[in-house]
Amino acid sequence: MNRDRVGALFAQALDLPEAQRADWLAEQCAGDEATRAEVERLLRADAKAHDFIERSPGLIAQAGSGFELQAKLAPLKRSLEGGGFAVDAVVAPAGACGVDDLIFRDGFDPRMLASPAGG
Amino acid sequence: MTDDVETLIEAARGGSAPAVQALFARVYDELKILARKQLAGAAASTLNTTALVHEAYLKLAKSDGRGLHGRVHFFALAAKAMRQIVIDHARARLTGKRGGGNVQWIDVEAASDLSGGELAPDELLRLDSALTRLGEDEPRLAQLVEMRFFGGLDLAEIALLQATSERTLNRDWRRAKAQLYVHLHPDV
Repeated sequence: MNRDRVGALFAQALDLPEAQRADWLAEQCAGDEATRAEVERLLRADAKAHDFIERSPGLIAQAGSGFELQAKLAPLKRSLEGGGFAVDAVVAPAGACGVDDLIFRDGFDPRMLASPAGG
Repeated sequence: MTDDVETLIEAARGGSAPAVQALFARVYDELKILARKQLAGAAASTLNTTALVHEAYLKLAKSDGRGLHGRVHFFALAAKAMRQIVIDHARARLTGKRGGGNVQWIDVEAASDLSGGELAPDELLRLDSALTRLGEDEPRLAQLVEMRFFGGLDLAEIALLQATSERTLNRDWRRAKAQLYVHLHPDV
């Protein structure tokens, strides 16, 4: 099966009314059933694909995700930094989280930990 | 283009694999920085990948009217980098949280959720695999999908960048979509 030929036949078939494609394809592919089957398969996929991959994926911050936590942590972070501490804040992935602990290590370089709400 | 980016693009066009890798790394890093900034913005709840790619271009390039071929390479690489970012997020989404017990170290990389349009994270990973296979057989079609789906460019923009007709690209797009659809839905 020649991939270039499959592509060319697919493109040409798209220009035909749907009702004419089967007969046209049979004529073009006489003796080459593998090519005909592959082009027909792609045409069926084309008919069903519709919005498939028509919208780019996006990265979103959902309600209850780490961005709400970040909003809670920000004042605390500012307070610590104002007090001369170096803060390495991390934010939570999706899911409700609360800040339960601050751990101060040597050198006063706290890291904020978050635990699941109710946990 | 800024000098180093332009130099890398020229070297990449000349076939330098290290230049391609270095350029990809620059673009990838810039996209991640821009993504974090946008997602951390108080008013930003959704990251538009199209805007992100264009913003990365504006930041890394000087718009001086030259270097159309440079823009093609840039946007192709930026789309590839966005693909990697999106797929990494999809894997992280499926992997779930790390750590044990109730106290968890939380990774800023997983701080955003992923919307794949109509595709769930696992489907995005399957699409990624299918796209890799398509790239082995038909690299031009795979690049078109990267630029349109992951890079967010529309066919008119891609046609301009590649100096080809929209009609040709539309045919290629439908064929690429059909082939990827078949991979994800083999019983079609």
